[in-house]
Amino acid sequence: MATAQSTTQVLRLPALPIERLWKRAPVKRALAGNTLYRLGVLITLFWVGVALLAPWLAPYSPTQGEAALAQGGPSLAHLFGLDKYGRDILTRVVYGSRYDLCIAVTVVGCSLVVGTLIGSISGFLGGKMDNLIMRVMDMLLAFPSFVLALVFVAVFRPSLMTLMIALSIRFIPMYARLVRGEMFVERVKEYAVAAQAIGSAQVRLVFRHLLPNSLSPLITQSTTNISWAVLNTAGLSFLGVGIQPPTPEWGVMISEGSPYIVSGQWWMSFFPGMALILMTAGFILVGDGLSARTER
Amino acid sequence: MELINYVVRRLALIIPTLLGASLVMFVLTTLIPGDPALMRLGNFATAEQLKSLREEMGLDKPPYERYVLYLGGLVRGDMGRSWRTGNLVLDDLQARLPMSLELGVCSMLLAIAIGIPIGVWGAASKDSVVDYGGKAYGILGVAMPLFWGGLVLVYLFYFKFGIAPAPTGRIDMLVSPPTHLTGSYLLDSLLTGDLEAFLSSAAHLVLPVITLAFVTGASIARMTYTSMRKVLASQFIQVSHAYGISPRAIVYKFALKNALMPVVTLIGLQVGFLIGGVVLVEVVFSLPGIGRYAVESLLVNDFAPVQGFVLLVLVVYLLINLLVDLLYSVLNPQVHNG
Repeated sequence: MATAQSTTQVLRLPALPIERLWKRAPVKRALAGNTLYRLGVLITLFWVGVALLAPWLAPYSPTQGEAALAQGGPSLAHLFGLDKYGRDILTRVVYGSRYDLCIAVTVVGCSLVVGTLIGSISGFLGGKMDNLIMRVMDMLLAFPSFVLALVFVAVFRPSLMTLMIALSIRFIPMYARLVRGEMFVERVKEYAVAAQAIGSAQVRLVFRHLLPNSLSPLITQSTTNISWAVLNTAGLSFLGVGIQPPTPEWGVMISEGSPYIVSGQWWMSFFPGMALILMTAGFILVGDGLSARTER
Repeated sequence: MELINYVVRRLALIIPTLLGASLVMFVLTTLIPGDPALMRLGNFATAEQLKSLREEMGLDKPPYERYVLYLGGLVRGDMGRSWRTGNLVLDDLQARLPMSLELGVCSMLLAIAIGIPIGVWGAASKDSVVDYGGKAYGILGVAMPLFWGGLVLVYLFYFKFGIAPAPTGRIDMLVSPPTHLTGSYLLDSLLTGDLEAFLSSAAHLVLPVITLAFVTGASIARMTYTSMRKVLASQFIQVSHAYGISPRAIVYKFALKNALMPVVTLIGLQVGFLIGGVVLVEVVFSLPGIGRYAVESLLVNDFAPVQGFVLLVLVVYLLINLLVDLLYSVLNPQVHNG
């Protein structure tokens, strides 16, 4: 029966609090889940490797092209073909992994820290302040996020900084709400009551006991958020308000190749898009695996 | 009566949200580094030209006065004038909104029609081909940048197979648009019985709608799948199995009803994503909708249209979410609108 199977599968993966997850050999633990999860971890590691080793992996220069070869299709010398300035697309795809990956991880990391602080302070203060902070967060969440980021970046001149701030605005309220909700759940658990009973201070209770135990859903949410951040960065760059050419960013490359699609030169946009899919899919698979693991 | 109260209260809540948004937009656009008048005239403008334009744009007044003037204009339906098109922003938006609504509504309907069956079917037949196929679709659709998906479709169906029209505009150049009734070409041509215009405008909508629906449908499929699996693992389903009720009846009669509840709410949240998608798709397919209007205005620092666009999008978004919440309370008798 379908249901019975699913229960045993969930039981086989022990739900570990995040602290123990770090203490055990991380690589071994990471590979112990199901196949899709493992695949996701491999893909993510692959991109981290590509981003780190880009100068050694890439066969050509990412910004210098050979004008004579411009718009050439895929060949043995240029596996992914060349763009309108004769730049090697494989090289640009390899370098492109640095931009989207770094931006997404930084954005999500910063939002995680800021959002967690706001959420836990809000939950800690309680009462009117809590209400006010959460109303503001709700208002930010109510905004269609891509439109908000679009307007924000365009108004403040496209730059790396504005792009990252614009994307963070979307994720901070998400984390604040999540952490506050988790802390309310944790607060009534026995260990928290016990900690209060032995007279530990409120600040200590929140930051030493409640917060560490509320982190695991945040980590799960973060992998999914990274994939969104990657897609949003590429989308804004595609519209011309994110990263600017000639940077070899994937969204920029897709945008530069788009006029040539109608005349059949597909490779300029196709390969950066495939790279994007592979990167976001990796993070989504990791996220799915983690959430299956932590679900109780 | 309770329901009417609830609706009125929710509608009243929209006003402070819009006020907040208009203030944020106003502050953002006044904070822009650089002089808007200078940006518009270019570096070679004379001091007099700059001065007169600044007066015309109201830039010589203090910010709070400009905001009050702007709000006063909004109340009268005056969103200012776009200097790029030379028209009133309200007129420009009115001309372009039907196109975007047409695109958004068709895509959402198709996405629901794809996503829910795949999610339900996949969850009901665990470890089957459908299950894995559905999962693969869910991951691919969520991971795919939709502007890229649109380009791939254009390459395949316009360039390779030659069955789709060129990705420019919403109707063939040679076909005259239908008589203006609602502004939606599909509806107008149907209402006036203009078959040629209907076919042409439908053909121009097919690829954009598929692009948006593929991506949105994937999210819906994933949400439906998760929700359905949760319900199927719950005790009342196991008890039904023990009673010997047929699995088909359990899935479609008992589980489905309960699983679709959260999905309704989540579809409401998808609307925010869909709006961002509409912007991207309109740019890829050069469709004359409000999204492309906003992006093109943004790129040349024409901010009145952008302010109008954001407020309009917000109103549409909030109204749709209100509708979704109402639908939810109709579907689920446990919810009392408190």
